[in-house]
Amino acid sequence: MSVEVDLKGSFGDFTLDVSFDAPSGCISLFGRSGAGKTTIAQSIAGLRKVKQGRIVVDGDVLLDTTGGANTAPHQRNIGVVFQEARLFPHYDVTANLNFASRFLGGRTPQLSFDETVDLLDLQPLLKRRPRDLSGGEKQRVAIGRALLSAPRLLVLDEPLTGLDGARREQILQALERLRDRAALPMIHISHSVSEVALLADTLVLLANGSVEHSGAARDIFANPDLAGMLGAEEAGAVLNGTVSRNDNAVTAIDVGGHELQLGKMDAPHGTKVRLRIKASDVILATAKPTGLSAQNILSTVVDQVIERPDGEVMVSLRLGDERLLARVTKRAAVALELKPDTVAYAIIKFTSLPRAYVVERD
Amino acid sequence: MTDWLSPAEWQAVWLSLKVASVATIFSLPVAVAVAFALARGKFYGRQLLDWVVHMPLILPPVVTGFALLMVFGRKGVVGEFLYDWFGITIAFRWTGAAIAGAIMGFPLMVRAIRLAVEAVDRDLEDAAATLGANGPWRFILVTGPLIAPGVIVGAILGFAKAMAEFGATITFVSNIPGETQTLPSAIYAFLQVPGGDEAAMRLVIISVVIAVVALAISEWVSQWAARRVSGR
Repeated sequence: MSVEVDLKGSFGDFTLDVSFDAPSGCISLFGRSGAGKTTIAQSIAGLRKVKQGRIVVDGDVLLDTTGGANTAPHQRNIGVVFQEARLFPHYDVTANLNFASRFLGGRTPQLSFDETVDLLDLQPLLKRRPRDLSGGEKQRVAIGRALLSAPRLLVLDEPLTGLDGARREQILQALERLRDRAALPMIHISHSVSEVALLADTLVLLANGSVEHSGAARDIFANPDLAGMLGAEEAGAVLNGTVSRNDNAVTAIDVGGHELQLGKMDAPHGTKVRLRIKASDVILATAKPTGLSAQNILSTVVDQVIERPDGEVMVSLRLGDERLLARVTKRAAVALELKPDTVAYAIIKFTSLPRAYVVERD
Repeated sequence: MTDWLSPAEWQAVWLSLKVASVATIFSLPVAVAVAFALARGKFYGRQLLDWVVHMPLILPPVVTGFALLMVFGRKGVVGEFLYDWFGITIAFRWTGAAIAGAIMGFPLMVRAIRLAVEAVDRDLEDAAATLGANGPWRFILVTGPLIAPGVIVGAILGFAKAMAEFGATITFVSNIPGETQTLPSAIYAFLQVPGGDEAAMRLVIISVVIAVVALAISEWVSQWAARRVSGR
C-alpha cells in the first residue's frame, strides 16, 4: 500500500502545488487553515475537479490528467470522514452505517458491523437519528460508516474539530486502534500538533498550497530546524516506548533503554506507547543533578544546537535510537556550552508527561 | 352522494378529478426535471426557461388558452401534425383540458420542487459518492427522499390548480358537458341559466372542500417533511 499525490492548479483564489508520496500507515497533512488541506482531501476522493495532477493509491492510477484517467468518486473506494460528519438526516444510525453495504460488490470490510460498533462504542446510538447526536457521536458514526464501505484508504478531514478533550481522546484512540489493528492506511488532515504527533507515520507540512517539508513523522518532530513550522510552543519530539513496569502509582516506560516514569496508566506490561514530550517541558543540565524532585533524568548526547530567529535555541538530543527536543534560552545555551556530541542531562518533570500525550498501542 | 348531485353535476366532478389526475401524473416528472435544471443547471438560457415556466402564472389565463389553441388546435403547429399523422385531436377534448390544467399548474409545481432541491445539502450527495453510490443510487437513496416532501407538495398544488383551472380551459377546449366541462366550467354554465344557482352552489361547495383538503394535506405533508428531513 502506498499513496502518491501530485496536484497543481488554482482553486478559487489560491494556488495549489503539492507533491508527496508515502508508504503505508498514517499520512498526516499538517498546516494552518487555508494551506490547502481540504482541497487535497477532496481531490483524492474525486470530489473536486483537478486541472493538473496525478493520484495513485496502491498502484492504482485514480487520476492522471496527462493520460486522461479519472476514476469517478464512487469507484475510488476511498472512505472519507468529513469535518462536518455529513450523516444522512433521513436515516437512523444503523441505516447510515449500512449505507455502503449495498455497494460492496463482494469486498469485505476490514471490521464487521459488530466489530465496528464495538470499536467506536456505537451500540447505544444505533436507533437514533443524526439530529439527536452530539458532535462527537456524529463523528464516530461517520468514521464507522466510512469503515464499513471497505475502503482501501481512509481520508480524515479534521475529524476532531469542535470536539472537547475527552471525546477527542476517545476518537484518537479509536483511530490509532484502527490504523494498527485493521491495518488501514489513512490520510489524516489536521492543524493540531498533538493529534498529528499521535497518529502520523508520515508527516507532510503544508503552507500556502505547497509542501514545506515531508518525511517520517519521528524525524520531523525531532528536527530542531522544523520546530518553527509547528510553533515554538508546540514543538517537541515523539518517542516510542514500551511499558516496562506498572506498580503503585507509577508506570515506567522503556524508551531506548532509558526509563521514563509517569502517572499510573491502565496498560499492561509490554504495551507499546507513543509519548510526545514538548521541547519547552525539557530542562537541560551538563552535570547529573542531584536532590531534584523531578523523577526523569535522562543521560543524552547533544545532536544539534539550532538558534531560532526569536533568539531561543532548539537542542536535539540522542537517547539511544530515539530523539528528544529541548528548548532553552540563548543565554542558557551559551552558559552551558552546549555543543554537538557532548553529554547533556534532560530533566523531564513527572507532571509534564500528561496522560493525553500517551496512547496505548497494542 | 349520487342522489344529491344530478348526473350532469356528478359528471363535472368526475371529469375534473380525471383531468386533474392525468394533468398531475404527466406533468410531475417534467416538473421535477425542470426544477433540477433551474436549481442546479448551469446552461445558456436558464433564465429564459425560468420565465417561460412562470408565464402561465403571470399571463391572463385567456392568453395561455389562446396560445394553446394556436399550438394544439387543428390548424396549430403541433395539433396539425398530431391530427395528420395519428388522427389525434386535442382541442375540445378532455385531453386538452388536462393539458391546460397541467400547464397552468406547472409553475406552482416547479416552484415547490425547486425549493426542495435547493434545500438539499449537496455535500450529502458527495458523501454518498465516497461510500460507493453512483448517480442513480445517490438520487434513489439521498436526493430523492430529501426532496420527496417538496415533490408531494408540488403535486398537490398542481392538482388543485388543475381542478380549479377555468380561463385557459374554456378558451382552449370550450365548455362541452361530458367532454370538457370541468367543475369551474360547470359552475359558470349553471350560473348562465335561470334557476341554475342551486346546482352551482353545490358545485361551489365541492370545490371549496377539495381546495381545503388539498391545502390541509400539503400543509401536513410539509410539516411531516420538515421533521423527517431534519431527522426528528
